[in-house]
This record gives sequence, structure tokens and C-alpha cells, in this order.
Amino acid sequence: MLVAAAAAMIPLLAACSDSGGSTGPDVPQTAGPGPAGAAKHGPSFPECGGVSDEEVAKQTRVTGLVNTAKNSVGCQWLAGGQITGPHFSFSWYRGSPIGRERKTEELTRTSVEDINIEGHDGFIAYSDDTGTVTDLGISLCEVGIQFDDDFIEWSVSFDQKPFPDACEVVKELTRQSIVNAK
Amino acid sequence: MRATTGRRVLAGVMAVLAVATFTVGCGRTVEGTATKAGAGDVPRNDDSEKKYPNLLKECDVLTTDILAETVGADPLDIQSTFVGAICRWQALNQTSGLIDITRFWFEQGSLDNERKVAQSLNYQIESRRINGVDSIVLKTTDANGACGVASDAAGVVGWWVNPQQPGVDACGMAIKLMELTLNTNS
Repeated sequence: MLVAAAAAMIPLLAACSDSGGSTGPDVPQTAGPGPAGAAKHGPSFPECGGVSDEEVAKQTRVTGLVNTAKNSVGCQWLAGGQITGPHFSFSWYRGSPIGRERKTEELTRTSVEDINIEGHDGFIAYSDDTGTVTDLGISLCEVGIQFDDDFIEWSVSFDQKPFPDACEVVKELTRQSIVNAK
Repeated sequence: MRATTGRRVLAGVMAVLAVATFTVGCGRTVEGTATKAGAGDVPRNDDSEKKYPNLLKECDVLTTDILAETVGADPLDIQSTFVGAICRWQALNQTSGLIDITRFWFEQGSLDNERKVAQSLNYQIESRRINGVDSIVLKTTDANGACGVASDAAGVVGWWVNPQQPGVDACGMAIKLMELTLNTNS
């Protein structure tokens, strides 16, 4: 029910996007070798970065999480499996520039800073909505860590108080994934 | 990165704010120095979309209408949850419940590397051609029948369909999404 309510926004927003012009080279071209093959890939990660459902629940202190999108590029945990609650995810990008992801963060988040975890460089981004309608403070925090031409990203987003320090949670989940790399 | 549309708004005020978002996003031109959209209200990301129109478009190769239709959902029952080189949506299939959709496009990646990763994850791998493009279809041990497809296109592009209940033709849906993706190039 809540999903449907939330989803009602999408067609409207999509219409906005479409009217903004859709030229650009972002559509993949068939048969184009591009820079493929030149990429230097980083280490291998287990499914979900090697972090179990139980560990995500423990770190985030959210109960009833469902792993809704476990696959080769990551995992997503949602309360009750629905998008209307908190959101946690692991993503593994293989041959994708971390700089573009960071740029997107810089355009949309309150703060983006350098970070080093377990000897690996990346960024940490958060949004602070203090003083807004929702007024949760720093409820969203994301960390991206580079491994040559690959990177991983953990995303932590709470939707209601009380919740633990989002950036501490996301750093710990990232640390565990880095340790789990093979 | 986490999609900021929709879910950051509490359910109780969602309908009202949906209209407000639409109005601000489409109806008004902001003059002068760019400031954070929605400052003092709910944070919005309108500015970056206007200033850097290509940056947030990676998830828009197929419209949400097409995504919804492909996985048997009403166009109103789909929402983006994550954007970037990896995009995620959740849709409500009209008979089989929630289905999560993932798209990835790694422009410096390769089908060979995706095959290696799938092997390391012990996925079932089937090679095939989709619209004449070398591809692999991937299945996990997931009881709900999660299925993915990756194709050799400007690096590597892929789709995953993760149903939250069994009984969904996830492979058929993922392959259809890839066919539509590759179609958009010709």
C-alpha cells in the first residue's frame, strides 16, 4: 500500500526528466568494445560483501529486514522487504569510475569527504536534514572505496528516530567487506 | 548512491509533497546563483539534474513504465531506490508481489569479468546471444528464482530480477529487459 503511494511520484518526476532533453552518450552501444579489457580489476567480494543479514540487523539495529536484491552486483536490505522504511545496501562496481559516483554525491549530499578504511581510499558522503520537515539529522551516509578500476559502496539510510550514528554504521559495514575481499 | 526521491518523505505527507515536487521540478525556473533546492524544506536534488543533465540519467535507459510493464506491475507501482552505474527499483507485480530490479552498466567492465565473478559466486551460467550480442544468463540458488543477464555492450550492461516470492519468470523478465535495452541502440 505504501509502496503504491510512494510510487505515485515517479511518473511525474520521470516526465520532468524526459523534458529536460535526452541527448547524450549514456546509452550503451552494441558491439562497441570501448575501453573494455583495459580495466584493472580489484579483489573479489563474496555476495553482499560477505556481510550476513544478521550482521546488517545487528549494526543497524533494525529488525525485520529482508534482503530483497541479492545478486552479482550487491544486496539491498529493506524493512519488511518494502521501500517505505530504512534502506541499506552493498554495491560492487566492476570497471566503473568512482569519480563519477563521487561527483553525483557532491551534487546531492550535504558533505563529501575523503576517507581511508583498512588502507584503501574513497569517499564518505552524508545528508543532514536538520531543520527540515523530516528533521532526522544525519540519517543517510554512504561510503565508496576504490580498488583500481573497481569500487564498492555501502549505503545506510534510516527513516525514523532513534537510530545509531549512520556514518559509524556504514564505516563498520565497509570495513567488514574490505576484510572479506579475496 | 541512494535515490533521494520519494522515500525520504514520510508517508503521511507524501501525497501533498508529491504534488509540490512536481510543481517545483517542472514549473519554475530559478534565477541567480544556484542554491540547494528545497533549502528549509525537504532536501531536493533538482539543481544537479538541471546543471548536469547526463549525470543522473544512467538509470533512465528504459522508462519506469517499460520496467513496470515488463515485470507485470502497474506503472504507478514502481519506485527507484538506488541510482548511478548500479540502479535499483522495486515494483509490485499484480499477482506475485514485490519484485526488485537491478540494472548495472560498467563501461570499463567486460562480459569476461562478469563471467568470472559469476563463477566465483557459484552461479549457474548459460551463454546465449540476445539481439545478436554475446550474453550470459545467471541464476543463483535463491528460492524465489532470482535471475540476471549480462551483455557485451560498451563495457558490460546487465539486469537482475529478484522476486520476493517464487513463481515468477525472472529469467524471462531479465532477458526481455535486456532485449529492450539493446533495442534502444539501433
